[in-house]
Amino acid sequence: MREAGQNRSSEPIVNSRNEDIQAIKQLAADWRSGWLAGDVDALLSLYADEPVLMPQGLPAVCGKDAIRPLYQAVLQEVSIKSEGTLMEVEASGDWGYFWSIYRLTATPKAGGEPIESEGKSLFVVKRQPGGAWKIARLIDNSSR
Amino acid sequence: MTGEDRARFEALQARVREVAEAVRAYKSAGGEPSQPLYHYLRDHGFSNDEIWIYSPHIGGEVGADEPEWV
Repeated sequence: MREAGQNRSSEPIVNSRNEDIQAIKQLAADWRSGWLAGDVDALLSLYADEPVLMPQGLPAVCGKDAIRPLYQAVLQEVSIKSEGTLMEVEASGDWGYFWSIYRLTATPKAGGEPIESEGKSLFVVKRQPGGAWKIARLIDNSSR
Repeated sequence: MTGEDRARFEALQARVREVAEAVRAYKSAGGEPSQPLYHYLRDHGFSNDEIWIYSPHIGGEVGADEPEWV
């Protein structure tokens, strides 16, 4: 059976909205799993080519090569305990989005006071030429 | 992934499998659900993360009062 969004021929990809929503939910689940596992390679595999990450308090980070060291630094320097909630998933044509909220405690591995934070993330996702949905833009900011 | 990360991830995966069991129990109860699935899962002690990660497998076939993403 064909996976939603997978295209093995030159035919146009015409999924129903529900198929696209399911595929984006899977992307969101893979994202959350990768984050909770601290798996940088898994996270980067979920990005489209030439993604842009817009984190709180930093300039935009463009491209996987620039995102990788940022994630590696975060995951190497702190132990993160977090709880996330997926809030909404939507798709229209080749574009979609999902957004989530989170609460986390980041404890420096070298010692020091834990940092508590709450925030929200908006993921703009795009259907790729092969049919898979990937993260094209990610905006993250704290709520306090 | 560090050993600690892997252990945490495997624990999470085990919990997600428990979500699947709970969803099956919810569906197999039949009749009009006494509460929306999301609240049922929360009342059974599952975290938002655990529900999130299982959510692609739930589909839209149960309950009318779920958050849209469930």
